Amino acid sequence: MERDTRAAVDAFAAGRLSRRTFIRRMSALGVSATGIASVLAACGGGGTQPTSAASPQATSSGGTAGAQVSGDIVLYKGPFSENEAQQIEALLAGFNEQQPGISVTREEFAFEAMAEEFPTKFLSDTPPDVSTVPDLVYGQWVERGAFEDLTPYVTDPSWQQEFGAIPEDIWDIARAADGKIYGVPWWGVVLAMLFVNRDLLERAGVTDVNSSVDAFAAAARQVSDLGDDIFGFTIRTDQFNPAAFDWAAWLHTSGGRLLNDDWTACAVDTPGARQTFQTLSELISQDQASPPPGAYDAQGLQDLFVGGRVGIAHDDNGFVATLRDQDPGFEYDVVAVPPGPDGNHATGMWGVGLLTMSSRSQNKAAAWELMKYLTSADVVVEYFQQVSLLPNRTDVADRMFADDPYAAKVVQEILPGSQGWQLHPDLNEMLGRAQPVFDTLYRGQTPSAEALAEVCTVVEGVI
Amino acid sequence: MDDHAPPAVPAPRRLTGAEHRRLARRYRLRRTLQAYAFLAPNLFFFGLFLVVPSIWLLLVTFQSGGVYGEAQFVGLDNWRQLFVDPLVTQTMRNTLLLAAMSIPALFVVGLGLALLLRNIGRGGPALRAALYFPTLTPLVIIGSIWLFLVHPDFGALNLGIRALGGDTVNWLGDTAIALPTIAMVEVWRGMGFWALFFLAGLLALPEELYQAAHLDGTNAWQRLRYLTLPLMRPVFLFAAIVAIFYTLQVFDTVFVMTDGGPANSTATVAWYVYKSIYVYDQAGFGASLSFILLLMILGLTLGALRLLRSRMDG
Repeated sequence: MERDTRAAVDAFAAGRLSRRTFIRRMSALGVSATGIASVLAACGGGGTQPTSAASPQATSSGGTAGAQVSGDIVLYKGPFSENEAQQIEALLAGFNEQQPGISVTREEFAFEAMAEEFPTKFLSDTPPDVSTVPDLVYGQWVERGAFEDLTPYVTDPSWQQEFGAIPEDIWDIARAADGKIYGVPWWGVVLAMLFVNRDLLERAGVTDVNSSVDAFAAAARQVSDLGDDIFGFTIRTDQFNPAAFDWAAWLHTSGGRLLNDDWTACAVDTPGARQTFQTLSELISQDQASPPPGAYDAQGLQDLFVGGRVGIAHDDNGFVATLRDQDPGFEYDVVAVPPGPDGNHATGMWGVGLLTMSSRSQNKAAAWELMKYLTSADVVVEYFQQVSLLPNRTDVADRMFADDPYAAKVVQEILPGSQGWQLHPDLNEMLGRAQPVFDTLYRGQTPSAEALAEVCTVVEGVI
Repeated sequence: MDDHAPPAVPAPRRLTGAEHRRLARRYRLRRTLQAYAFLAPNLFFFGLFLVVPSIWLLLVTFQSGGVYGEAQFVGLDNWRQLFVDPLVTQTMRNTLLLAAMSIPALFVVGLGLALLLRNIGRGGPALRAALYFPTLTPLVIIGSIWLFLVHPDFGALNLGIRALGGDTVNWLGDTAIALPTIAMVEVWRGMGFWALFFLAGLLALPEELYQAAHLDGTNAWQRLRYLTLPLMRPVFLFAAIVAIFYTLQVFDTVFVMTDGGPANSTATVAWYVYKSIYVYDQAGFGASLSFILLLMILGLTLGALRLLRSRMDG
């Protein structure tokens, strides 16, 4: 290993390795971020420089020139992969090279334990300066005053090119009820896509999977008829996250939304949604074209698909990477969720994660520098490719997943038109209380009209 | 005249009534102070970690917010909400059902294992350690083990059922079966603890009674029925109380395995308290609900105490 390290250092010093490749290789060899930074410093920081928004321009509210910012800050982040530590340390080494005066300490939380970990962190005397916050809890913490109003930062003229790289409708997701922006949309997940087993579909004689909900249902039934251990389709049903994201996709495609435009009433119960969810309910509970609800967790459903027992699987873009790494041995494809009964709606569901700055950060200028670096095009391309997440920036789509036709299809064909949650402060509670109603719907215990009306009662009760 | 005669002892002075009362008072005071001095460390922590938080919690029941933001006095709103929220009734029913299923099963299985362990000589310690293993296992691992056990395709339970000609059971996904499945996990998890607990009780029983009963020609069932069970009543009394307040507070198994689903069929009171405070940001409502849980535990514990005491007296 020592020889490999030496060779990497020599190649970097000789200019044969780019700075980014060098950092990645050193991380893979187990060299710490501090070690990498020392080598970079010793080599004069050679190699390719990233074109980051953090280039030493005057920042907005921070008011300090990028190159002159200094201080200690904390990045509080949930893991995106099993190699989180290595990957983030490598990113921070790059940041450290740009901003040698800023020392970033990385702290990690578990996404599944946000409810317990966020309060202890965000309410402490020393809250983390920069945090990664999923959409489900963003509104809640905005309401609690945990985050700095970033509107002056993101609308500063010096950052307009970066601001424009993120579509306006995604900025709308980040806009709180008061119209202010408290987080920069960073990562995204497409939660409305169908993975189809082409071999099974061919055996069943299916040619149309997603031209309409009826075509989808017919395809699922045909595949299911192939055998007792073959399922026409799967949808995640076991726990509200990710089950809620899956039903949201079908809701959006059928012209419904969780809330109306001004968040004052429920907008779930539409004629299209009633029809779509009744079809889903019958497919699951009567036709048994899907595994019994709750029998398999999300991982179990993926295993069923990889095992060749599922014709159509509703999953997210993370599954693209799984299938890439774990060749299932059959022809497969990714397609969008079908349009709803009137055929004229958004195609699905888009989950967003945001970078936020603590309202009590002692070093907001340094925190903003880190946020600018993490959201910059080069960093997003490099990091998100490693962790199979999608960017909210549209200007990097063609640079990403060039060697992955399925991921490219997701970005180019499925993502456009998708809608995210409306980030109401009580979104988490609404979804938590609505999911049991969908449980009864999927089990055929409640007709869709009754179930959607009940969801509205629950949601409006929370509002 | 005897020079060595002991000096005359003056006759003891009789205490006046007032002096007697004063000394008695001082004696009682000294004894009381000594008792409090010995109790003080315990009382200090009891007050600090139980009484003060309980009073604080009671105050929170009349407030909205207070944990994440400024508290607002809302009077009895949170208590009123307890009576209109259908999930409160459902979580209470689920919690009581869970206790009704798991506690008797725990006692039967635990006592059965303890009786077996008492008679095992070689390998006994190893068996005891093995039985205690589930109690020591982190719940995340227990969850994984059980997710494998109840898996529809290759789970041991379903393999067994299918081998006997039955249909695959949707253990955690069927609204009628999910709660009994949680009870099953609780029994599996607690049986080692209760087996050792009951074994300790069994080993403390007087051996001569069993010898006498044996000489009288009793069989094993009669010794169990007329000796072991009556003699074990004090142990059962304590066990019942501990099991009640433990089972009524079940949270982690539900949280890890079902998160209250499907359709709230496994939602327990403790789970709903957690959701209310941490996820739904309703600390006041969660505090009120936890007071209800406290009352449930107190009521059931007192009931168990009275029932078992009356039987012991009988």
